[in-house]
Formats: sequence, C-alpha cells, structure tokens
Amino acid sequence: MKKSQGPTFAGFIVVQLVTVGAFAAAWTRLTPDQNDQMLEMATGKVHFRPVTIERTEPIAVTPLYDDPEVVSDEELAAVLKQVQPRFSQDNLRPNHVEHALRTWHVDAEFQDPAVMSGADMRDFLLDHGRFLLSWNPDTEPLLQDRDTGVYIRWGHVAGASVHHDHTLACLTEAGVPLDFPVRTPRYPNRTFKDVLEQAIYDFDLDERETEWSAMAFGLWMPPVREWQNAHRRKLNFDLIAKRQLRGHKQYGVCGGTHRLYSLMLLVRIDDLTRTQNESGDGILSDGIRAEVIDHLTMVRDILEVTQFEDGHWPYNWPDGADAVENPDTTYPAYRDVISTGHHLEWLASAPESLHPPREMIRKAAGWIIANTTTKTQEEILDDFTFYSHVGNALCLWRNTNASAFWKKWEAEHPWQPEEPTSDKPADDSAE
Amino acid sequence: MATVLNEPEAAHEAEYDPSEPDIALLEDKFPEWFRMSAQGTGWVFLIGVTFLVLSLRPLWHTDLWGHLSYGRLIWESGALPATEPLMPLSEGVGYVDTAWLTQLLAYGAFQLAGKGGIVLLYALSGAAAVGFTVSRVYDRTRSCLIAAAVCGLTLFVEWQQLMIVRPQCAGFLFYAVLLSVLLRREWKRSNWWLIPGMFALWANMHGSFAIGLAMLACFAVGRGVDVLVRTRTLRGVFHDRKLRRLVLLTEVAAVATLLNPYGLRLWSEVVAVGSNPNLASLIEWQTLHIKLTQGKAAFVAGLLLFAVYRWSPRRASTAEYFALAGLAAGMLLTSRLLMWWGPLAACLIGIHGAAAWRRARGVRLDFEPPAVASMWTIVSIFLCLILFQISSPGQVALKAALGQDAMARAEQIPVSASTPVGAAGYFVENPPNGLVFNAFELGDYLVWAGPKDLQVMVTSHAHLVPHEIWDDYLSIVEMRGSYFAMLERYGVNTIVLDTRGQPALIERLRDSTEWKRVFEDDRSIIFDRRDPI
Repeated sequence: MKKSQGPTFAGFIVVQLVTVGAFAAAWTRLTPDQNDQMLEMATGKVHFRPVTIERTEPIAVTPLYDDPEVVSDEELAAVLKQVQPRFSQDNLRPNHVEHALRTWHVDAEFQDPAVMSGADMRDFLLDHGRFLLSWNPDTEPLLQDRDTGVYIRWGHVAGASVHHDHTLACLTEAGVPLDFPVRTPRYPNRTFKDVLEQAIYDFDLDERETEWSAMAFGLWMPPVREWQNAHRRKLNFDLIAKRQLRGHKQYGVCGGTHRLYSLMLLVRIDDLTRTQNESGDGILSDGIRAEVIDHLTMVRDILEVTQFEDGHWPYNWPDGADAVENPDTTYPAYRDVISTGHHLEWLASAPESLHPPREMIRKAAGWIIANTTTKTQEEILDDFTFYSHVGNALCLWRNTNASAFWKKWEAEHPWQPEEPTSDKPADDSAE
Repeated sequence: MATVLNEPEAAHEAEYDPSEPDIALLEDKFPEWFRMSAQGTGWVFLIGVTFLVLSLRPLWHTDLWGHLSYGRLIWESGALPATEPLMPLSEGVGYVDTAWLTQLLAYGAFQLAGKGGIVLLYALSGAAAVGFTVSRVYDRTRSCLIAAAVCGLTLFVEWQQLMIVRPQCAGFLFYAVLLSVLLRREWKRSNWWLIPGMFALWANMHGSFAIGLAMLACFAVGRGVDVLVRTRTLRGVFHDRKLRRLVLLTEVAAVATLLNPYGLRLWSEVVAVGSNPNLASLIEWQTLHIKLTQGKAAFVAGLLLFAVYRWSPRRASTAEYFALAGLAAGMLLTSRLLMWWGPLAACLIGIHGAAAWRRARGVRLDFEPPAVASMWTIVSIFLCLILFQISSPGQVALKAALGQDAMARAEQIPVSASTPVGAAGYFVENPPNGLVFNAFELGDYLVWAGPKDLQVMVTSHAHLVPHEIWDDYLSIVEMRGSYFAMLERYGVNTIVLDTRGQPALIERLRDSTEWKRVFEDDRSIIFDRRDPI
C-alpha cells in the first residue's frame, strides 16, 4: 500500500495564499466601524469614529408664549437682577457659571462691572488659561484631552462640573457654535466639536443622569437619528426618550423635573424635524412620541392637584394629591423653589394641551417671583443654580431671553454703582 | 452385517467436501459490512446507556430557553437580530449571535417534537461526543476496560458542564471529533474536508470553535517542538510531513470559520464575550475552585494524569503538555474551560494508563482485529431500539408512530426544579405592567414561555446586559445599598424570584408594606407593587 504523502511545497504555498486572501477578503467586508472595533481589540487603542454632525449652530427651540400676566417686565427685571452672575472670581465653580450662562447666553453684557459677561463665562468654561486664573494650578483641569475629544471633568469635586454633560448642554443652550475654539491644557486649537464628540463617545444610556446629554444631543444631532457610543451600543432618540421615562417620576435631577424639560425639548425638536423633513419623519418614532406626550399629560394632571394655595408646587409633586393633603415638612424650603421654577420652565416650552389651567401657572409664577425677589443676594447665591432656572423660566414666558431683555432694561434703567454686591461663594451642592 | 453397515458410511464420506460450509454450524449470510464485533456491541451499549442517562436528565432552566427564544425570533423574522432583542434594557446593544444555527435547529426540533426534540439533540450530541472520545482510546489501547473507564471518567469530570442544555453541547461534539482526529495514529485523506467542514459548521453553532482552532494550533506547535528537539535542525522541522499537515489543517480550518454571517466579526465577538466584565459575577465564569464539585472532579483527574505520566512508558508529545497545561491555566480564569480540558485529560489518562498497565503486566499491544459476526450487529440494533424506546424522545416518537398525542408526552418531559413554569403561566394569565425584576436564571424561561411582550430585566445572556444595569441587578439581588430605591428607578412593579435562590430578598419583600405576594409555588414567587409606579 502506498504510504500517504504529505502536502507538497506548492500545495503548502497555495494554502498560505488562500489563507491570507480569505482573511484579507473578510477584512475588506467589515464596515469602517467594525474595522475600528477589530483594530481596537487587536491594538488596545481607541479607534472610534463619532457620528458626523451636520450643523455648526445648535437647533433653536423658541419659546411659545408672551404672557405679561405670568410675569410683567418689572417683575422679570427684578428677578433677573437677583440672578445676575455676581460670582467671586476665586475658585469659581463651573456649575454656577454653567447655570448662569444658560440663563444669560453668551452675548450677555452688564453695566455693573462686578457681574460676569456671557463671554467671560464661556471663556472660563472653554479656556484652560482662564480656569487657571481662578483655581490653584494643582487643581485638576476642567478640560481634559482625550484621544476621542475633550472631556469635561464632572462630579462633586473641586473645580469640576457637577453633572455629566451639563457643561455641554449649557454651552449649547447659551449659543456656542461647534467651531468655537477650546483651549485645553495640551492643545490651544481644539473646538467645541471635540467636547461634543467626547460626550457622544462616553455617554451611557444607563448612567444615573442623562438629562443633559439628552438635551445636547437633541440640539446638535438632527437630522442624524442614530449613532453609537464607546461600547458600540446603537443609540437613538427613542432610547433617550425612553430613558427619561424610566422609573418613578421622583427620580432624576431636581426632583425629576429635568427629565420633563428634556422630554419637552425632544418633542419640540421632533416637531421641528418633522416639519423640515420631506418624509415627515422626526427624531422620535410615533409610538415613543405618543408615550412621551402621555407621560407629560400625566404630569400635567398631577400638577393640577398638587399646587398649594400660595401657588408653589411641592418637591414631592409625584406623590399627587397626597403631597398637598399630607405636606412633607421634612425637606428644606428651597426645594419648592426647585420644583416650581423647573415646572414653569418646561411648561413654557410645552403646547397648551400640556398645561394646567393658566391661572395655576400665574399663581406659581407669582409665588416664585415673590420668593426670589425677597431673598438677599447671599441667599440667592447659596441656591444660585435653582434660582437661575427661575430667571430662565420667566424669560421664556415672555418669549425672550435674559440677555436681550436685560440689555433693553438697562438701556432704560441704567445701573447705579452704589448697588451692593456680594462676593460670597455659593454652595455647590445646588443643582 | 458389516458390509451392510459400512456401505452407507462409505457413501457419506464420498459426499463430504471440506470446502463446503459445515451444515452443522449456522452460516452468517449477512454481508461483511454488516458484521461487528462483540466489543463493538459493548460500545453500542455503553454509548446507548450514556444517551439514555442524558435523555432522562431534566431540562435545565437557564440558557436553553433563551436560545430557543432567539431561534424562534430568527425563524419568525427570517433574519439575525443586529441588536439584543429579548431584554428591553439592552436595546441597542450589538448582538453577534455566535450560536444562531444551533438556536434555529433547536427551535425546529422543538416545533417538531416539543421538549422531546431538544432532549434528542442533547442526548445524541452528548452520547456521540463520548463515543468519539472512547472509540479513539480503544483504538489506541485495544482495551475495553480502559475505554470504558475513560467513558466513566469523561462523564465524571464533565457532568456538571453537561447538565446544561445549550449550544455548547454541539461544540462539545465537534471538539470530541477533533480530539479523535488529533489522537489518531494514521492520517486520513478525508480529514482535509472533514475538519474544515466541521469548523465551518462549528463557527455557526457555538463560539467554542476558537478552542478547536487553539487545539489544532497547539498540536502543530507541539509537533514542531518535538521535531526540533529530535532533529535539532530547522530543516527537519520544515520537512516534517505531519507538522506541515497540522499547520495547513489549522489554516484551512481557520479560513472555514469565516463562512458565517458575521465573517471576521465572529472572531472578535468570541474574544469580547470572554472578557465581558459582567461574566465575572457568574460562577461558571469564575476560577475553577476545589470547593466546587467539578473542581474536585478536575482535581481527581489531575492526580490521575500525574500518576499515568509518571509510570507511562509512552513518550508524551509536547502538544499534550501544551494542551493540558494551556487549558488548565485557562481553568484558573474560568471553570467553563473544564469542558474542553476534561475529555483531553480522560483520553490521555486512558492512553498512558493502558501503556503503564501493559508494562506492569508485561503484555504487548494486541493489534489483531476482533472476530466479527452479524449476530452482534443485530444485538446492537436491538439494544439501540430498546434504549431509545426507554428514553424520553423514544417515547415521544412511539406516540407519534401510533398516531397518539406525541406533544402531550413531550410536555411530560421534566424540567429542572428551578424552572419557573408556574410563574410563566401566571404571567400569561396576568400580564405584568412594565419591567419585571427577575433572578437572571429565570429570565430565559420567562421570555420563552411568558406572554409575548414580557419585559424581563435580565436573562442568562449577561454579556448582553449593559454594565450599569448588571451592577444594579446585582445590588438588588444581593440587597446592597438602596436596592428598594433602585427598583423604583427602573419602574419595577413586579418581581419574580427563585424560592431557593434568593431567600433573604424574599423574606424582605414579604415583610414590606410596598409589595404583596401574588403567586408562589415550590419553584418561584411573584410580588407586585401595591401602588404601581
């Protein structure tokens, strides 16, 4: 019997060619993203392509109402005067600057030199050099260079933004364009786009706070409807909206009210994209949009039964009528400011079908105006972040923004230098 | 008288022809190919009993039902899911289905014969795998005793791994075939198509094809080392026919694994699954500890290995050491590698043990082929029929053959004691509102047998659960931190737990004023939130 012969040299070479060819062909069949994933796995280095953002300016969601019965010019001026960014320049807290900036916008200017202008606030957040003027050089930078963009340090630590993507969302709402220069500790030539791309990369749908990512993505992404994060999870606005709807209403930042604002914003952006899109498609599917509207309708119904006689909505508003029948006196009073101010803010962007009776809104506005204007500057600065929402909400109810209104107001009512100012730093526990 | 008496004898002698068959004996008129040896019948019995034992095992409550659910989804949609489709909290998570073909086959089998179809596939694959392993040992040792002992040892070491019916069973069969080829003395031409063909199938049926490729590569490298040590020249290595064959076979098998719907992505997925951090909390992905039953089994097998290598006169190949040591090191990372270490260890214990035994007894290896007869084939056939008939799928088949309700018989096939049959039935009648928090072991069955839109928090496919959610799941089930608040964060209005698996949490829920027990049997318990979110 003839002994089995081994493979010939020629056969050996052919198999090598076939093997290399097969793997090369398999490699070419990978999509660019799959290719990146393979490279990342093979090299241990990040290979990530963020979705292409087609716009350089964020979507503008305009206010819907101008109701002087909710807030008059004088009342609005009095409130805005209270929430001016009169911050101490030492150890300036990013969280406060962010809140002030989203209320006042980048073009804000004040006759009082002790108040930070919009440009100053923007530069503090986007220029590491400016940050260093306020913070000790040993403090970890707010802006951090990453291969995938510019990361903004966040958490309850010194010199950091408090919430994930809060800086991004606030700068976006304040009108910073995508090509605006960003100066990081290592590079002077990065842009705001790098901040957005890093946010896209490191966003996790299941992290604790997603409200600001939802807002920022909503204002920047469309018409893009789907993208993916570092884990290659496919994300879209339906998922983002479902995430805001998840769980008990009391959860989420500021007693669950930020989720309502984000949801309302997504619905408004959906309206816009449906109008602009020839196919009539928005960023949300019909089913999810209907779920969001149902949810906000349910919240409207709750607001109708949870308003106190004096006009405020309690922090435990999700408890419904029980919150009024058995008031919770254990929580600090400023939480009612959070609740009332934030509800007024999202309602200002909501269609009337989602409103409680206008009289309730007026009562709520009356309560919050009285509360805000009777506080001292020190008290306001202690809870600045909450009061900044009050300023923004009331501006929206007058179909304006703080910057435009204040310029006009100061033209008619010039600043008097003798007005007292406070340099007491505010408490960063505020949200 | 004498003449009279002698005449017939003379006539008889004249008619006798020694070349003719002896009519005093039964003549085996069956063709040669039909005949088998007594040993062969012994193997049929052994493998048949293995089949029977496996077929009588209750169906495990975890992975199987999830895989069937994926199979159902693929069948109904006609496409492979691109993202995780069964767990709502995993929506958008990329899903490379490394077992799509097994899932589809299993679903098809279930459609045809209910649980009987699943049991048939499971028991057949397990018995066949054991059969391949044992037959190679017999081929190398010619000892029925040793081969039977290897069969027992394989089942002893693998028992806990084999308990779970899942696509890995298909991988186990392919692995046994591969081992059988690698441990064979002679090279067969058919290997050139058999092995690549098998790998093409394997890559579509289970991610363990990577272990097979590693084993091939290990044998190639081991052979290279052996040749280098023996010849001390690289030329000798390059010209070694066996080495070249192994290298080529590894390459061709690797190319064959690319024949799958995902192409090269399948490879990265296998690596990604193995390194998923969620798996660290699952016991089967943790290190193989001596405290575990299978750890003790592996320890016993390890001791036997040491003993046979100490006394075996056979030269052990470097590939053996590489493969055994590599897989053993792997078991320090994850006990699941025992599945692949076990059969290899059992085979090598058998082969070296037989050699040590022969040396001790001064007996030479007997290569004489055993006597064959069709009688043994017939006995084997009857054995197969009897054993099959006793088995669960056999009884289902009999009912079908008799025109009776075979599916009703299939329904009687037992499932494991933790399978939430009652809970699934309760949910069908009382569909829960929103997300259900469930022990992950129960998720697969609830998805399979519960109402169509049941939203379970997790299933046993932990690698498809986002890490934050898996962490929260563990916090709740282990009662860490503010776990009740977490349930609210997820909007959970219904909880289903294993009555034996989470006693402390169950006790806490029983005492809670927020939750009420709405269902309980000896397997699972369901709580509803009194004031739904």
